[in-house]
Formats: sequence, structure tokens, C-alpha cells
Amino acid sequence: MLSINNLNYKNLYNDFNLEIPKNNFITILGTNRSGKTILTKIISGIIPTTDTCILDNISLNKNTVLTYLTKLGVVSNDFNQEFLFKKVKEELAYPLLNLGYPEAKLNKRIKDISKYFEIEDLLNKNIEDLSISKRKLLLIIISIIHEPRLVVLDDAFLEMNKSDKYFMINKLNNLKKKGLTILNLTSDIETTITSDKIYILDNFNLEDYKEDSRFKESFIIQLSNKLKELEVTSQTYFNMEDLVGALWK
Amino acid sequence: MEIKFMNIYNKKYKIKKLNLKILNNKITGILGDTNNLIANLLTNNLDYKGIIMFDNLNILGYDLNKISYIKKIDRNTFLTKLVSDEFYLKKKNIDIKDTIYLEKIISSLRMVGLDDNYLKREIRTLSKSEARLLEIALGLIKNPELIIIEEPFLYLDNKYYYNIQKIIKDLKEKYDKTIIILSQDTNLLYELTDNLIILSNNQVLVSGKTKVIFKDKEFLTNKNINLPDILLFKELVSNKGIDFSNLNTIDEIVKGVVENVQENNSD
Repeated sequence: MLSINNLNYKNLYNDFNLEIPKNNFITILGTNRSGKTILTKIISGIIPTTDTCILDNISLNKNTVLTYLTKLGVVSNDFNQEFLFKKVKEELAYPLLNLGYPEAKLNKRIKDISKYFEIEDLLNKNIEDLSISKRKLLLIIISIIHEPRLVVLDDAFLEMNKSDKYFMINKLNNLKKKGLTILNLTSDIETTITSDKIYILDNFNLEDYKEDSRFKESFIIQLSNKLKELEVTSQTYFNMEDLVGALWK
Repeated sequence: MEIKFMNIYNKKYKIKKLNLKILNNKITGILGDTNNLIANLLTNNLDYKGIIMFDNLNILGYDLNKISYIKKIDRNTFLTKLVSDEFYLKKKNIDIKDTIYLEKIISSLRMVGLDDNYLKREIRTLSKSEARLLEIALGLIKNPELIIIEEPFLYLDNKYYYNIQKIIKDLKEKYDKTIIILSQDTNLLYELTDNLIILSNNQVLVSGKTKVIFKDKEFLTNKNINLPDILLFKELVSNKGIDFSNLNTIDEIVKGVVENVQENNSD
């Protein structure tokens, strides 16, 4: 779905390669300064590259950028990511208006996506009245409203409460069946729960996932790692029910 | 410092008859989407009708330098270029000799885990984690009596987590400070706070001892408030007929699990 080939950027990324297979949920874990945001900017064309990124058979360069971007959704992690409009519905409509959606198609898409993400009751609300968690949820929904093939989430779950976070991760994971591929760049191990593959980005290098104390672990991961050290369990559990099930069959 | 809100009204945020008490030398958590309203009232950033008392003194007669509000960082947090400039900007409100102030700066930085080399750093070159630590150090330089800290661990890499947690506990236990934590994270609030205030629609939904509030599972679930993981775990375990109700930390639970599993194996 997405290939990054021999990326070289400012002596930070050197001959960097990444392959994201179609209809997968891939997580790249990285601390601050590991290179997540630069990678997001490269994939989304904000930092220009020529024929380094290939998304859905389209090689990104200055001639293809517009077509390429229709296939991509991005949530960036800028401070105060700002909304442009007052109402939730207007925010959702904006990317579709830009793509020239006719009114009927636009309304249907907003209706369908709000039903899927259970935000119908928010459509006519003012964005300033939403909680931080719901605003973050909305940013992700906006990023995929135009039905991209790939969505890149740069610390998009930060400041979401636990129920919104798990709700969103599961909903996104279910969209794999409908042709969405998810690339989640994060420092939060909890968001890896449905991932098909987890990498660690360390100082601009990609490695396979292994236990790493630099990432804040949820209660259940901490508990299961402690029990693993004591040889009570044999693996790390990400989910409470699984751990309890393994301990008391 | 004890704080009392008495019959507070604000038209814009539809605050009506808000009454609450924040106890001296305790860590009080405030949960709820608009928890920063309380901080804005305390720092005189929001108009209101009613009375706010600090230790029986009306807030209007109180030296606001004794309150530090450590907000989440955003693009407007820092006003200068260098880390040292940011500290000297704060000095304007404090009557203190330069040499002593420099010592204070260095000890504040060290307290949060940053060394003196940071003084020469440009703020734009700091990582989010470092910027957050700087903001905490800036918040402590005035030796405030009341510290309000919003989402203390947001943007912090794990290696700083335990240090900041320890600083918050030390501020209460060793330095007798009153601390308010604004957070939406019930795990954090359960672990760190003595008392809790839950706001809903800008009104107090419930306030009291944190451990007592979190005992009322049904009430919290009805109000869409996430239970802390440790309580969810204890509940799952109790469904298996095992009683962990007296275990309150992760290490106690590890010990409990090990003992229980060994007992089962020896049966």
C-alpha cells in the first residue's frame, strides 16, 4: 500500500525503507524526537521528496501530489490543532467540498460516517463545546471522511480518554475490511492493541518491536511484564481479560 | 492553603452557585471536561460573582505570585528565545538578588531532571518532553503555595514519569504545598490524589476522598467516567472468586497473584 524507498533526509533518515502492506493496522512506536513527525510530514508531502513515497501505485512527486493526497488521510500532532469552522458538520463537509463532492453525495457520506462512529448527536454542536477527547476523535474522523486508502496518525490518540481511545482503535481496525490501511505513529503502547505489526522507531531507524522501558506502559502491560519476570506467565498481555484468563483458567 | 469557593456564578459558562473546598496540604484532582474553569477562577482569569477565600482571606487581597498554574504546553507557552530568558521574565515579579535567583533557577531545573546546560538552549530546539519539564521548572521557581498542574504527564517520555510523580508527592509531603491536578486520566487521579472533584456541565457532580468516590462503581459508570484499571482488574479477579480488595498498588497485586497461583498449584 505504502512504500518508502531509500529515504534520505538531512542526515537524519539515511537510506530508510518502509513497507506498509494493504489493509493492515501498523504501529510505529517512538519517543519524542525519534522521527515520527518528520516521517509523517514526508509521507504527507509537507516535506517534499521526489519518487521516494509510493502510495497505492502512485509515486509522490510534484506532478502527482494532488492525486496522491486524495488517497491519504493525515492527523498531525501540532499543538492546538485548529478547527476552521464553528460546527462539527461544517468541519466534516470541508474536505469533501474541496474534492468537489455534489451535495447529495456529501450529505450521504457525512450521514454514514457519523453513524459508523456514533457521533450523530454531535453534528450540530459547536466544536468549542466538545471535550478534548471528542475533538481528538473528530480529527481522526475528518482525516478519513474522503475515504482515503491510507491514514497516518501522528500521536492522534494523545489526550483521548480510555473509552474513546479503544472505541476509535476498534472502529478503525474494522475499516481494514473496507480497504483502509492504518499507520499509527505513537508513544502510547496501549494503542498497539489491534496492530498487525509493531515497529520501534529509534533515532530514525526502524526495528522490530521488543519490550522497551522508554514507553509508558498501561497498568495491565506493567502487571503482566512483572508476572512474566517472575515466570508466572510466559508472555506480555495487552488485555485484562486475557491475563486473568491465563492466570485462572 | 485552604481554598473555599462560595456561591460562585458566571454567566458565560453557566456556573451557578458553585461551592467547593480544596483542602490544605493535600493533592486534589479535578476531573471533567471543563476542569480548567476552576484554575481560571483561582488565577483571576475569569470574572465571577461570589467569594473565593484563601485561608480566610478573600482572593482579591491575595498575592497571586503565590499561585502557580502549570498549563499544558502550546505554541503560546513560551515568550522568549532562550531558556534563561524565560526564567528572567518571571523574575520581574520577584524581589531577589541576581546571584540567588540563578541558584534558584539551577535548582528548579535540576529538580525536574534538566541540567544547567539547558539555560543556553533555544526553546525551539527543545523536545516536547523537555519543554514540558521546563514549564514545570518555571512553575516552581516562585516557590508557590498553591500549585495547579494540568495533565502532568502529557508529552513526557517514560523516563521522566517517575521523577515528576515523585516531585508532586514531595511538594506535598516535604514542602507542605497544596496541589491541584487537572486531568481526564482516572488512573493518574486514582494513584496520585487524596481528594477528587468531578465536574459535569460546570457544576460539581461529586467531591470527596478519591478512594471513596471510586468505590461507587455504578454511579461512575452511569456518568461515563472510566474506572481506574486497577479497580477493573480487581473486579475481574473477584468474579473468579478471589479477593484482592485490600491490595492497592501494582506491587501488592503482583504479590497477591504469585501467592494465589502458588496456592492453587500446591492444591
